[in-house]
Amino acid sequence: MARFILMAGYARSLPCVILAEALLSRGHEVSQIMLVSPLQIRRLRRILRQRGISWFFGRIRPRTASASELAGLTAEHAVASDSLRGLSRRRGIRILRVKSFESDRSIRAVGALGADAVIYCGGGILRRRFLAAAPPVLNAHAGPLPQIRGMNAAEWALLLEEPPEVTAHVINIGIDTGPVLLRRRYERTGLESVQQLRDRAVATGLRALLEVVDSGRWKGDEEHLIDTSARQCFVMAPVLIELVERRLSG
Amino acid sequence: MAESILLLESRAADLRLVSAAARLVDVVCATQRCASASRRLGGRVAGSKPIYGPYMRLRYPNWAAKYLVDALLALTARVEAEL
Repeated sequence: MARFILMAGYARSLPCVILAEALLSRGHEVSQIMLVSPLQIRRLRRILRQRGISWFFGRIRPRTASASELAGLTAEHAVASDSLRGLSRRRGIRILRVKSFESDRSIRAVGALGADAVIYCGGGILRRRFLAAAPPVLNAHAGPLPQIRGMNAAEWALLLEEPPEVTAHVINIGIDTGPVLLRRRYERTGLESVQQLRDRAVATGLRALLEVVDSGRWKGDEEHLIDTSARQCFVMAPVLIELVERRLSG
Repeated sequence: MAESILLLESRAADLRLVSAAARLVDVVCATQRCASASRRLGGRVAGSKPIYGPYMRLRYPNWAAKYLVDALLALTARVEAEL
């Protein structure tokens, strides 16, 4: 049995809820969920600048798992709540709300709990101070590494004709440059929208993370650091998102 | 700048550069004023953001709109090539 801390970027993070339920059903302990408070002007401004207002409204709307690629996972792990608050009430997991993962409070908390690993489900870039204090931080990156580093990885993998692959790795100080733990492919067939593509990549990522947890090999091998010579991917422009939609539909 | 990025991209195709150019164009398009009582002022792009900021304070230079159109034409051609 291992002890984990989960990190989430918003309170309705369905992947984080699924992961917590899956870990608990495997007999692991989830000591705490660290949640970055979304109601901060600086954070909202940065998100709106990067992703636009449509992303913001998409997050406010309740997301129905039945309509998404995550439905299979929610059924598999008998997920009964769609928010971290509901999960916390049902399972008695403490949620620690922090202004940022760089705050003194979050750094103190992540170091004090004595967890075996932290699993990242969003919340921004992790900096040196946090990573130095935390046990290994595991992440499922939605694209193949090292070819696709950065944002919108599933979409960039499609546009840049890279294989549909999710990479589980340990987060280090670079952007998606940490040691690779596992790679898992997924199919792009039957997808009609970018959201479905993202959800399928997320679902594959969650399964990959659970495989890593089951294998118990999450320390990573420093010899397998990611090659950073490939150009980093940033938030995709709306016109290219439309291009992705077109390629998916036909 | 968007046009320069697209020029660079024409020598070594990379959609990541096209995305960067498109996002720059989006930023400028968001500041463009299309509605105007005067036909001569429709589609104007301010020389500064905010308009009272430094460089071209409270002015709409003709070259701002010209460069935006150039970038839009180059971007449209590049994206259409992907269809």
